[in-house]
Parts: sequence; structure tokens; C-alpha cells
Amino acid sequence: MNAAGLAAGFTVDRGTFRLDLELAVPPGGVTAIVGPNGAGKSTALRTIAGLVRPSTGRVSLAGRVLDDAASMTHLPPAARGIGVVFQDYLLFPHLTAAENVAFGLLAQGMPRRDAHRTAREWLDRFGLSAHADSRPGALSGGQAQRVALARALVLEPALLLLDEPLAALDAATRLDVRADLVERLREFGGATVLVTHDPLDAVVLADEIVVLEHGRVAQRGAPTEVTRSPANDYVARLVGLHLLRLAPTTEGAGRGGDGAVGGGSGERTVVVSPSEVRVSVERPADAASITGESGSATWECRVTGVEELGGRTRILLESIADGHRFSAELALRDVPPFGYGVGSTVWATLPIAAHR
Amino acid sequence: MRGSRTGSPGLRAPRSPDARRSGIPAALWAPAVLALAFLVLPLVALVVRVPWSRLPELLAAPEIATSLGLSLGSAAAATALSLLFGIPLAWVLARSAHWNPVARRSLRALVTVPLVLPPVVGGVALLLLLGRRGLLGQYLDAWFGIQLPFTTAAVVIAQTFVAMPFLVLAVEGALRGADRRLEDAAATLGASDWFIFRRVTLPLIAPGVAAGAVLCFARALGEFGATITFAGNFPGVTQTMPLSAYLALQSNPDAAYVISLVLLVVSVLVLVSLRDRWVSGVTA
Repeated sequence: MNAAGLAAGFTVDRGTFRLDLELAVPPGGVTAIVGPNGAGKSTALRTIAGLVRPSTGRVSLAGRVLDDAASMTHLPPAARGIGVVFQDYLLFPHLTAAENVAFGLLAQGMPRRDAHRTAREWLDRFGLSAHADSRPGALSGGQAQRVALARALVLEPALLLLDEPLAALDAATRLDVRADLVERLREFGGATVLVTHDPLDAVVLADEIVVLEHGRVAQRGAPTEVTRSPANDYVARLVGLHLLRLAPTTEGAGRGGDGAVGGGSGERTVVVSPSEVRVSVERPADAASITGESGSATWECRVTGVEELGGRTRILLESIADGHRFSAELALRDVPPFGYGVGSTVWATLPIAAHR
Repeated sequence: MRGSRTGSPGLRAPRSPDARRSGIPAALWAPAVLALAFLVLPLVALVVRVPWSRLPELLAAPEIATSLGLSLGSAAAATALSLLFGIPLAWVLARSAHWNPVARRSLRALVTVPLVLPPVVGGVALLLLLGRRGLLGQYLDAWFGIQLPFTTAAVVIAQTFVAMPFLVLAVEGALRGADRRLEDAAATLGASDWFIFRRVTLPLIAPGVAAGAVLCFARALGEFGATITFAGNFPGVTQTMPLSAYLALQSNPDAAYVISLVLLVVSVLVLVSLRDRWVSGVTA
């Protein structure tokens, strides 16, 4: 067992449902638990956080036993020293951002003045000093996420749990917040476990992916392993992602690619989820080149195939400029009755996020 | 019926008189108007009959000022007691979801009884518990020399008995509506249960507590039956406004009208403040 980080092996019974999970996350490591709704992801996090008692097994953190079903050991959440960022963030609505961050310090007995000073320092570091006195209701989704992260990290936990950290955000802010989260997790020295239904988040944020299906681990491994060789159909469908290798492109290069990818800093790998690819028959008006860490790129593509899959349509695409192959998944209602036939030419817009 | 009408505002027909029949059969109009008149006319009669020209003089009369002060003071004390003990009781009720259903329902019924019990019965029951020969009262008298009946303390106890359930049920509703995941979040930040209660739960349910306190205060202010039975009717000691209004009706009707008017004004104020509380509770 890993003495320094998180070492957990437990089962949780909920009626007929059983979660059976083993995790070992070293300090500095990021493990993502991926799976559909009802796979047991949130139960896993709640168990590690101490909000749910495991039926069997044990949980230990930095050598300290938090749960041991055999000896009836169970440390309550308040005694665990685990930071949690909940889905929807669960900021206290009656407190300002600074008071939210100071909450844990005050709860643990830090004098008011020191707690508020420390809270403001953290908000400064997170680029939120202008919002220190705002109530959560006045914050954007991305700001609320950072306040929630600061509230958890200010206590310097040995383990950070993130429950669907990006699910509450709209597509536009998601990309930025995800990139920001990558930075924060890199700075954080402790172990991180995050739960997400979005494989893209897992691939970008984690160094180990655990795929949960019906309470059991269907596959685990490094993101590249899982995406390259999915263990079964379910994982393949779940992680249906594209890892694209993009060459540095100068402005306006490529016959079809208006989207110049990369800042001229050399080849890099980007991860794209088919559900994030937008397809249009006309060249989109907002087609733009990208210069920074993230953004979007528009490519002219040929349709090489159209597949129906359970209420969605998958369009297989090949970029005319450089032959990249990828696919777009659209809800049926987003597919126009014309166009998108095999052989036709369309414009695909891909969000580009940095991949570490 | 009401539910089906108000439940789906999105499906409501356009607000044009022609687009939709009013839906109220003509045969219902007459009784509806009568019912409304029945509710409103007595209050109109009261307002009309109040000797407005002598109002300041009557309000300043010592017996009215005394009973007004006693009423406000005792109702405030009853509200304070209800807050002190009622919030914890509401908390237990709201968090009893995992209890055995029989125990949970019994507890809830016990809390609700004073709401439906005739107040006089409550007064008799309080006498039998706390009176000089009462179940507990005999010991209070024998050991401590405390005799509660017919004291101002008895007024407060009678009012608390009838009014606390209003507070308990309002606070319980607020607790059920509060997001318990926020308490989980507080726990993961190392907060003790008591810290969470004071810093998270209580602020979250503050609108519900305020509404409950206002209801409780209004009920305590209007309390008559339990008070006159358990506390008696001693001017300056236990004679609250409802009691003095009832008695003044025989000797000094004008004073009775003025007291009734004061109670009516307080009731309207309570109604207005409650509406504001509910509104702010929803939007906060």
C-alpha cells in the first residue's frame, strides 16, 4: 500500500447496487474516475470524503487510516483533512467569496483576522481579488469554481476530491477553466481524485484514468493507454476521443484550414471530443485562428461516412488540408435534412485545449 | 383543482378575455360574494364604529396602555421561548426522515395537537400540569415555593403552548427546503456540527425562522382561551388585550373597540411583513 498518498480499497452497498473500487494515488498524482451516471462515481468520492461509510475495506491517507470496516473505524468528514470541490461548487450563498474561503480556517479555530487575511491572499493567487466581497450569486461559473477550489485548498489538504468540476460550466468557459484547473492541480502537491462523466476532462487533467461501469472498474491506466486501446466497447464509446497531432501552422496556411493551430511553438497534441466538434455547411462567420493556449480552429473537411448511434449522428470527417481524420457527434435535431452526405464538403470547428 | 390550475403556468392560455372562458359557473358567484362579504363586513363594522375622535385619549387610558404593554411583552417572551426551544424541535422533526415511520408520525402529531386543540382545553391541561395540585406544579410549590397559575409567567406559558407549533412547523419546512449538501461541504472543511448549525444551517433558514416567529408572535398576541383559563384575568398581571377587550365590551364599549382596532392593525402588519418575508425568502 502506498503510505504517502491515498490508498483505498472498499465496497459500498446501496440496495442492489454495489460499488467495488481500489485506488492508489501518490502525492502529486491525479486520478480521474470516469463513467456514466449511476456508475458509482459520486458514491466513490463521498466514501473517500467520509460522507458515506464503506461496507467493507479501508481507506487511508498519508499513512493515516480513515476508514477500516473490519475494525469499525470511521473518521467523520471534518477530521479527514480532505479538500472537496463539489458538483455545483456548493458555495455558501449567504457568505462572500472571502468568507467562503475563510470558512474552513475559522471552523478550525484560526483567529478571524488571520483567517480573512489568508483567504484574501488565496483569492489574489486565484485572480479573484476583485470578487472577494461578492456573494456566490454574483459570480460567473468559472469564478465560482475557483472560489470553491480556493476554499478547499486553503486548508492545505493531503487529498483533493473534485466532483464533476467542469460540468456546471457552459462550453465557452469550460475550455478556459479546464486549462486553469490543469495549472492549479500542477501547483497542488497533494493527491487528487476527480470524478467526471466527460472523458475529455479526464484525459486533459489526469495521469491515471479509472473507468467505472455498474460499480466495477472496467479499465484503468494512463490516458493514452485507455484512449488508444479501450478494453471493451463500452470504454471505447465512453472515451470516443481524438488525440490529434497538430503541426505548427503559419497564419492562413493550408488550403482549407483558416484555423492556424498552435502559436508557432512546434508540434503539439490536442484532445478533441466528437461531441464538441461543430459542423456547418457554410464557412462559419466566427472562424478564427488561434494564438494562445486554447481556442478553436476551423477546418474544411470531406464527409467520409455518416453513422446513427442511439439518438445521435456521427459524421466521419477528413480534413482536406492535411488529412486528419476525426468525427463529429451531433444530436439528431442539430443535423440539417440536407448536406452532410458522404463526399460532401463541410466546415468543422474544433475546440483546441492544451494537452499536457 | 387549484393544483391543476396553478401547476403549469407555461401552458396557461393567453390572457385575453375572449381567448378563454372565465371558468367560474354563474351559480358559484353569489355564494362566493356572500362569503367574502361575511369575512370583510365585520371588520368594516369595527372600523366604522371606532370612536376615531376620542382615539388618542382612549389609547392613553391606563387600562388600555397596561394591557397593551402586557400583551406585547408576553407575546415577545413567548416568541423568544418558542425560538429557543422550537428551532431545536423543528430540527429534530426535519431530520427524522430515517426514523421508524410510526415514531416520526407520532412526533409530528404531538407537535400539531396544540394547533387544533381548543385553547381552553390547553389552559385546563396546563393547570393540571403546573397548577398548585398539578402533576409537576405540586413539586414546584413544595420544593421551590413556585406557584405559576395566575401570574404573568403563566400568560407567557399559555401563549407559548398555543403559538410554538406555528414556529416549529414553519422552521421545519425551511429546514426541509434547505440544501443539506451545503452542510456536507461545511463538514469537509473541518467544521463541527455546532459550527455548521450556527454558520450554515441557521443563516440558510433565516427567512423561514423569521416567518415562523411572526406567525408565532401573532398567535400569542391574540391568545385568549388558554390564558384566561390558566392565568386568569388580573389587570396589570395577566389581563392581555384580548381579555380586556372582552371585558370592556360590557363596561366600556368604546375601549373595547379601540383595543380590537389595535389588534386588527397588528394582524394586518403581520400579514404584510409575512408577505415580504416570503418574497425575500424566495429571491435570496
